[in-house]
Amino acid sequence: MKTFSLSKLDITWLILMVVTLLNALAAETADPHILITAVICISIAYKGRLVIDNFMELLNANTTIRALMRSYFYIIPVLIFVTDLFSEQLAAISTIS
Amino acid sequence: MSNAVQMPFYLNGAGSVAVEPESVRKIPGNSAVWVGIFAELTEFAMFFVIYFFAKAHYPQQFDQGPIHLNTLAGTLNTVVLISSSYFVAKAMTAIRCNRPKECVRWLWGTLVAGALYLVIKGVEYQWNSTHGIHSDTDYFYTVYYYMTFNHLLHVGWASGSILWAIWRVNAGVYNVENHAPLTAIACYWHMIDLAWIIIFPMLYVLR
Repeated sequence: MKTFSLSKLDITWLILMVVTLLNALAAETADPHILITAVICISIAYKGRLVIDNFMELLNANTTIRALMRSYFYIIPVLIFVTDLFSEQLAAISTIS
Repeated sequence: MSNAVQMPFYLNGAGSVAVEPESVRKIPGNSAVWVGIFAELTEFAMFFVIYFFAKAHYPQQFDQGPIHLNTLAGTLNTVVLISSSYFVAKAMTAIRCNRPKECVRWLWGTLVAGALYLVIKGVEYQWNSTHGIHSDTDYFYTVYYYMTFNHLLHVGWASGSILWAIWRVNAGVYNVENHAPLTAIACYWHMIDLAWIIIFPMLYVLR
């Protein structure tokens, strides 16, 4: 008899779907707030990590490639958050007078 | 028989297979594809930097812009792309377990998902046009079109590479013994999914 079981890939896909739908819900209902930005940034980092480790199979692969790919998904979400938090300062320092 | 056959490796959640995947402690696919992947990610990073500066200078446009976009289309595209990445990962499992027909089925699923993405994006652009949203409407929509159209091109040509992989698996060229090129194609496809994982919240969610 064949038993039903979920593999790591199946579970990863399910988690990614849930996080994506929560993001969409936030887009439709949540008002702009720095906390919402923080949650969205964390969700980007988390989704990226899942794809990198489980779908791309970098969890056990070459350490340099894994580190570079993972760092991309740490740096970009942090930049999204920081540039949102300090948007006025960023505009000020990048204005040509 | 090699040692790898005697020591089953837990492959990506798919259960034990007799052969250790080529990715363990090694560069998945080949070095060339990773040069391409990092070049593409650098290109997308530049788009993101442009987004940061544009948002800082035109906060009102970037606050209002996402409200007028079709969130359903963006969400469906995310669902389709993540699913396509899942299909590719399943195809890799199948080829390693010496199930080429199953591998081809998953790859066709990926290709259909890629085509669906392009159709959804086309419908979304049409919807935008009927709602008066064009690339020169304001700076938000300029960044939106610049980023999403570039991403769409990547999905287009990566779909071509998936079609190539289907042909090679069917021809028996990519098989349980030789599938490093298929791994390279899979990694490239995942990179496109990763780029969208960042683009979707930036353009459709964050305000």
